[in-house]
Amino acid sequence: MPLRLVLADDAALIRQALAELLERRGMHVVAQAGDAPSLLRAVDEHRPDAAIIDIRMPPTQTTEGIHAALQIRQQFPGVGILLLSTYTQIDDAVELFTSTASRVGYLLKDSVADLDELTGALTRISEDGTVFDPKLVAELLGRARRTDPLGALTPRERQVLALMAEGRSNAGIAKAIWVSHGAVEKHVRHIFRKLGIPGTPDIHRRVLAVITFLDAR
Amino acid sequence: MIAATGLPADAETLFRAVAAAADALWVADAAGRIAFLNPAALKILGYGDAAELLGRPSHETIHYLRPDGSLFPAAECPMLRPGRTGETIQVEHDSFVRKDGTQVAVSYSSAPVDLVYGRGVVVAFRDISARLRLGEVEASRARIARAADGARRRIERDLHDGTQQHFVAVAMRLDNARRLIQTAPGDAARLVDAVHADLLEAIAELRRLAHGIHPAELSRHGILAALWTLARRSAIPVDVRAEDIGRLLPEIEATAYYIAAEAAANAVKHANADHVTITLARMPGGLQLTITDDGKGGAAFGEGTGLQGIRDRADAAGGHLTLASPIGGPTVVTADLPIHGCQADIR
Repeated sequence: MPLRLVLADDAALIRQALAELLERRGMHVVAQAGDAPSLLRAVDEHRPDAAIIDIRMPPTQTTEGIHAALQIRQQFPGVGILLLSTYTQIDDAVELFTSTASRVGYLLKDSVADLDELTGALTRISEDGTVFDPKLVAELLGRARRTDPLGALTPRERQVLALMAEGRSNAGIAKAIWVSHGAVEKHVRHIFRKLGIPGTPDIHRRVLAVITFLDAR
Repeated sequence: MIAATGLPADAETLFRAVAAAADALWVADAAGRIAFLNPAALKILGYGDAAELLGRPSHETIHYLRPDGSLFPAAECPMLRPGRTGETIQVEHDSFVRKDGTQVAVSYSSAPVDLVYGRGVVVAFRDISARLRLGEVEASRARIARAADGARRRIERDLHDGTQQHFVAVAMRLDNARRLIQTAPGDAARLVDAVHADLLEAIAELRRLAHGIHPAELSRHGILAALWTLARRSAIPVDVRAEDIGRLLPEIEATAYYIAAEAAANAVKHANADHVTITLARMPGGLQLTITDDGKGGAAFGEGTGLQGIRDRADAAGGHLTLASPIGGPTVVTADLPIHGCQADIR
């Protein structure tokens, strides 16, 4: 069954292009919206599998996207949410992940240009997963720090950490780096112990814990 | 000129006029000693009573420092020359020393005057501090306008040399690919792959450029969020230590951000610093931002330097910027900004 999607972005050019590309990939865009109220109406009417929402929408082009996302989560909990942001604002992602349990993703708008990444994210979200843009993860990991909090990790553990931050499940990590499930679980345990983060079995909470750790101020 | 045999009534009027004049007037005798001062002169120089000055050598008492505070030798001073040569001189910008030792910027004229015991000088002078301040404000405004023009030129150059080149290359490759689709689809596909990669790079570059022009975090989440993003992206570790001061007027937030960004960039580019600390704190009536780096110091405000630019911006926002940068470091840039912005801009 093709994924049923609602697209919300005030840039009609992007919306059209995105709809065409997603349809070509076998997904079904059931409705498009140019602002938050139309988005909510569309979700109510069509009950899609997921909504792709641009953070910046009229009238103020600031927080409309996030508010709409949180409203959808409250009123239509089964609808997956993929939030697209033009700017690398970690605070927005943290706010989103803190308020919602799962089936949510945060991607940079740049990632829309990479169809594999986009459709991969939508699929994971529709399967109860969590998605956090790998480019943002790379930025967090690459941040210059006086003392390296990741110094105790082995290279393999750093790799697993990055994939955890992107929202991958243990199975997903195992597939991505060609190791066994058991090996991934062991790495995850070590990482949590070495970084002093309380381990959590919930993938979604784990993303939040890792991002918060990496973005520590 | 005063007639040797003036009527008493004229003399009375003249005396009253000189005493009441708003501009300062004093007279030195042939030996350069102060012979007379009007009340305006006493006031500007900060003396209570003419008796404190009468008979004292004029140059050594009130004219012994140059505007920059260095010693002004009597031999180089033109003020008493009219008494010797009969010429009249005008000096646009000089400095007198007040009773309390502070200096006041003045412009003066000095003319010869025949006194009972020889030829002296009569000096008329004005306090020009206000005019100088206005001049400095105008100069600062001009510098800000030039800096804005310079920024626009850089944007044009970045767009032209960077992004535009990407798109030109993309157009050429796609044109090529178009022709090859029927005859050499494999080559066409490779070209399209290359185009895709090019475009992703162009998008990333545009994003960086847009962020440099104005970071979106600043408008959306305020100065603190923008500083955290600055820290995250920095090539060297940046610690941001700040209380949550909430949102401020956009121009204050923008000024604070650009000051921090410029100072942090200098730390990397010029000071070879290993570490930067940015602190932001509420003060009564204002905000204090400090940027400290552990680099090699020696920074200074120079014509056209970024430091001059941020000092101008701080001034324009109704604030104040100071720099401490001894050779060997550390460098500390401190900006005090008002919370409420300039009076003229309150909406």
